[in-house]
Amino acid sequence: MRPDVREQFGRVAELYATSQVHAHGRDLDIIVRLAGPQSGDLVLDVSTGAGHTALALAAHVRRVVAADITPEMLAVARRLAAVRSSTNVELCQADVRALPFMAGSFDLVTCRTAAHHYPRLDEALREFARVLRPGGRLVVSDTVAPDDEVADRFINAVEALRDPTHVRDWSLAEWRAAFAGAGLRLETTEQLDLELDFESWVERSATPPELREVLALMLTRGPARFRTLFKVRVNPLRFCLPKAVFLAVRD
Amino acid sequence: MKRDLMEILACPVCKGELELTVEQEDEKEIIKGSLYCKNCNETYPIEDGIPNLLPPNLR
Repeated sequence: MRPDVREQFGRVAELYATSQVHAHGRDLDIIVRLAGPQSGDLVLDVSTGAGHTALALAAHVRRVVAADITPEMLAVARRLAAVRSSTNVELCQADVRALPFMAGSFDLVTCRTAAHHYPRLDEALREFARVLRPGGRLVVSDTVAPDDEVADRFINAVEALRDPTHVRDWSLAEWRAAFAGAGLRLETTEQLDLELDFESWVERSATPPELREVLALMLTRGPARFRTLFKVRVNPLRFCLPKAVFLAVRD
Repeated sequence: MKRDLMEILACPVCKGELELTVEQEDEKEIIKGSLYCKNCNETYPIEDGIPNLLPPNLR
């Protein structure tokens, strides 16, 4: 059985407060821009983690509910909210498969870099759609699998070796199908590269040393095609994962 | 959690209304208490100001 995501993130919660790719990732600016936050908006940020997305939106809206399944992450989010003097962020321990909110409660739902942990994407998107009011916006970002099926299997194997709670980097086709199935109209897809420093990437997931070695080999000694696709560079080892930010509207 | 969050909170399982019991509250928020779902006969704790609304099978 797959290890519990709460154990994984409970152990390493603190690293997410200061992680460059989490605190300052380019997708965070894109999320805020696509979300088009309004001063009267009630926002739900699911899988909030250290709360970076919730806090980025809090400055623009009436209120943000920041939900996460892991209590240690919520503790980090609360501390960051206090540091930034955000008084309109509410914390809630909740699971994406069973959100504890009335239907139609939110103007905006956001979900950043988390869907690759969800056992089922369709189930989560249906819950997001349920808690959105008609016309409400959903903005989601995550790493996505390449269209090429072999490269898809390769990068998902890399991700699963690094973090045993990884479920799947979903492909763009899977995302599109899940939006449609949840009654969400996909309006915008923006693609970008998530540039990762190998050492801090495996540090954040507390990957065992033997597996770090295997992962480094997979990235640096794998087929040239993959090295090109994932922009692998050495000394120090860095690479890129394709990422997408989606804006969808509930009909 | 602030009291007015009750307007949107629902039972994670049946999505029905919850009944709030407050054990400790300061001028800003509820620190300790519980949320009860009558339909499911299930109680969800509020501890350290944060409601734990994970479904029973995930707690």
